[in-house]
Amino acid sequence: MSDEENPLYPLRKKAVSPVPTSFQSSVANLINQAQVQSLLDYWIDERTSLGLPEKPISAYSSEKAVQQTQEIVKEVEFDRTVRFDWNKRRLRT
Amino acid sequence: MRTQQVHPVMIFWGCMISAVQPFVEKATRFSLQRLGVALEEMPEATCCPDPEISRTLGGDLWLTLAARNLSIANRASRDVTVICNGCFETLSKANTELSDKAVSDKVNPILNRHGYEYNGSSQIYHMISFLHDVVGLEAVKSKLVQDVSGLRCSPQYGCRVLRENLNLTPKFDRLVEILGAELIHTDTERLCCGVPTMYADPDFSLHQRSEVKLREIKQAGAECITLFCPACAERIERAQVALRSEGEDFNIPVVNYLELLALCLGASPSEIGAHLHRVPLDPILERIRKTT
Repeated sequence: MSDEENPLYPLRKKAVSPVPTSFQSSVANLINQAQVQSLLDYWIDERTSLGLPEKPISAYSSEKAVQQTQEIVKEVEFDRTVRFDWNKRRLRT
Repeated sequence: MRTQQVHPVMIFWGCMISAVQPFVEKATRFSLQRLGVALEEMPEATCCPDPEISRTLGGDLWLTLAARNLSIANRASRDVTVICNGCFETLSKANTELSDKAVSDKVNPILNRHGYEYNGSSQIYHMISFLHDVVGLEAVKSKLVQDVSGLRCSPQYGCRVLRENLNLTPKFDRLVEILGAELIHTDTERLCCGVPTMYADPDFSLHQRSEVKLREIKQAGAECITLFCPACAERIERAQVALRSEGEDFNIPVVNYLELLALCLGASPSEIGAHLHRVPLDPILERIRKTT
């Protein structure tokens, strides 16, 4: 039995994501928020201190844009390609 | 010289400028306003999406989301101006691919279900060509109230601008020169900043790309690096922070051209968030002086 095998479930294989580890957070962000880069509270504060709107009028502030992106993700079956778990909102790894 | 009011431009901010470089967004808004350019933002834009990860893993998603963004500009009858080299690559390449009717015929049924239609009517400008060709070099020059005479600037063009055969690098150089800066060219100025390789091999990206570039720029005596691409900026600034922990203190400010332009158009450093850089912009700010 190899080290990776589970003694309780010896036939269960460890799932391997088709997405390289270093890409996983970017892919999950793209699906969850329609943007690869997250807009953190720190930068929202800095934006307002510069007199900019809290969030730009892009997917950062548009639920509709995020929903449409997620529907397109399903339509082109990208979620299947990257094995995205819609319940847990992350890639299966 | 062009007329005072340039036609409205629909700007595509991308994710990095909005999310981690608001000082570039502020400088852009300031500069375009001073140049008489009416700025429109692209409503409900999504990620361009990025040409590395999304395109590699899901070409169909990459093309469809890019087409969705382009169709927003199509609907508003606007051309698109892009600052980020990555967004520029995605949107311009997608625009080219979609000009093949067979390709757009595959994408449009998906877009139609969401109320969009790609029709190919929008041109994609990099901010370099927008400033140089649409606003016009002389028009930009006529609005400058300050300059950075003698500032030794190393240009970081960014690889995607080099790949496109658009003659952007000489335009980039001319835009820097009208601010009074002296361009310091180096052998590694066309070397990748390190972004694409950092996903696969962070150590290679840091030491074989960013550090090599920084070392040569320092040896050439440049006081700062100027660029348009926010990904290059993020990489080269972060690399300097990482290399500090290894005893290498390059301390070379990395400034977006639009920040330099805003300063020369009369913006105060605090107004455009110059203090938000990880490597202080002091050597640049010390050089700013009123034009006579």
